[in-house]
Amino acid sequence: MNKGILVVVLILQTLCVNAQITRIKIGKSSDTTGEVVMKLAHRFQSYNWNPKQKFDHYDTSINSPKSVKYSKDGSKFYVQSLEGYTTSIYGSDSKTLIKTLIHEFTTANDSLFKGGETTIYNYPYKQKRTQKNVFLGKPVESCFSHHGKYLWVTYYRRDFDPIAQSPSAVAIIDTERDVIVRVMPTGPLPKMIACSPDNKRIAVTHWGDNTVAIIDIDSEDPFDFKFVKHSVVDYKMSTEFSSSHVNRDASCGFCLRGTTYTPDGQFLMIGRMGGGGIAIFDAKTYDYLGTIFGMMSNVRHLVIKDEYLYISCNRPGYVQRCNWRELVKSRLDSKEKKVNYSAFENVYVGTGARTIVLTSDGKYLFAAANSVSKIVAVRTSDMKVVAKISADSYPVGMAISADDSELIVTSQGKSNKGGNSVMVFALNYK
Amino acid sequence: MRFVAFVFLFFLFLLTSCGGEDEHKTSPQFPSIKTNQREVVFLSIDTIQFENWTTTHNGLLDGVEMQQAQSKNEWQEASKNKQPAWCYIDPMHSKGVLYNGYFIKRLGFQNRHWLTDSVSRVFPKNTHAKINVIGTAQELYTTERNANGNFYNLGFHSFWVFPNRDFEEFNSLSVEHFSGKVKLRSSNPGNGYFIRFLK
Repeated sequence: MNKGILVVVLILQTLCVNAQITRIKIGKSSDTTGEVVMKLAHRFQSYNWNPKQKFDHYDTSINSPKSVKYSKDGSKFYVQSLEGYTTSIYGSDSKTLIKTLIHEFTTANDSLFKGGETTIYNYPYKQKRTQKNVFLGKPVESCFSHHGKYLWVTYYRRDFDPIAQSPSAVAIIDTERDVIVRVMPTGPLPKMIACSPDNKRIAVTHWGDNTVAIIDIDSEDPFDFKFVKHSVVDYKMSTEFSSSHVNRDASCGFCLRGTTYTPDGQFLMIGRMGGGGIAIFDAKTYDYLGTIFGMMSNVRHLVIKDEYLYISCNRPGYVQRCNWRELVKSRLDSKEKKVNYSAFENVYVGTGARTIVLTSDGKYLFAAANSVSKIVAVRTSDMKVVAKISADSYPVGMAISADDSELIVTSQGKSNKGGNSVMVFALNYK
Repeated sequence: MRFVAFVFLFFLFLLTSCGGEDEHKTSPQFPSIKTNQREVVFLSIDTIQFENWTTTHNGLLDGVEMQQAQSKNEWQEASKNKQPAWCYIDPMHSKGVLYNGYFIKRLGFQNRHWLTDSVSRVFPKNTHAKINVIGTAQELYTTERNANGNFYNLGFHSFWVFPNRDFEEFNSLSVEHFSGKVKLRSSNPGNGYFIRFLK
């Protein structure tokens, strides 16, 4: 009898979870005021091998897609599939898969590792392994340098390092040929990465231990690139864990994530998803200047557009904005390394606010609300929601085309539910 | 009613204190700064005008030389030891001088016509400067130095206002170059800002 009840409960639970999974149809439009309309135009997915709709493309290279970036000239877009160890490259106009890069390195790829380098700043390996540069890398985020010539892709971890305790790596892709031209070691668990406005430095933010590593890229030759500074936010977290079942998505100290330079190149800002606040660095010396608090918790993504800093706050489900100069000045004026700032404008976009992007004129912001599987458009002049649309569960990464006509959203999935989808929304404005 | 009285007294103060400003005018009970040369430029914020105090000087205080921080380290040390310090903004000495808060404290300057703390507090919120006036000298006026010795330019023209009586609180007034917005800010005395006197 009891067993029967248990089975019924389990079935109901499964149905309940599956009922929360959203899959939307090609052609679906946002329920809107009409000021902004989002319409699903194309999709690349690996959950339905027999799609009924014309622009629904079954694509096995999509496996837990975490992030997406348009090439600088807009002709291609790059999707990072974390669990698939792949970067899928698509033509923006043709909407076809051009190439799949697999982040797998064998001894045949030794030439990609300058001098056989395996680590930086004496980060040790926790695994006894002679061939440290034979691995599969899990791509997470990316950024461009050298006017779009190089795409830098961070690896969450090497496949032989189950809880991300050892050095990971960053791949440099030459976007003219779409080949990996160098792999540089990093600290444990790098996620976000940003290029300075003057194209002289790359900041690799380590989610895993409260540090950021700075690379000098003042050369056209990737083999001249070198690490020049290792900066710490308050303290460097130990990656010695008592259990091998630690969840590194949660055991990450300040869980450093959103990373952006100020447009004038004077400062580097890094969001602290754990513990709150935004850490500020001097972008000449990379000295840690301190942390500014006062925004909502769980700061995830940072974007600066003109005079404003936009912040997505994951758990509360809000996007906040403030004048970035005022925010930085509040720290510079103060004697204290930790200061509070309160002049924010807020808009609720739905729980699980992840990636945010803005139109080129800054008039509209799009946010991926992961937990509720929605894409939300916000009018920035008054920070009001003007459009919403359901998305394949669970949206996380996002990119907008240079002409603001298309929005690409990646849905990674959670606990093997949902995900495996890259949606291309056509955007129209009143 | 109190406010009207205060405004009346404030303007009375301005009327009686303005005019006859003389760089060599000193008060026997307060130290004075002697300058080599001073370019007279006026920065206008609404109806209040400031005399420029940004050009070269020899840092003498009643004949005693005040420390010029010639390196980042010297600036940091001055801040750490709460010592007065000043520095040129640029190697050519053409863009003026920044002073830390301890310099302000040491100088006194009570006899000069500062934008004092009490005056700055009656600035209505959202006070704006005339952008066309400040806009002509963006580079000259928007550099500041923080206590760790680095120079920054965030687009704010920042200058010290006279500290409170016990010199425990240091405030600066900033004019945001892009918007002209004027704001009073609590400031680290180890930072470097300009000095402004009322015209």
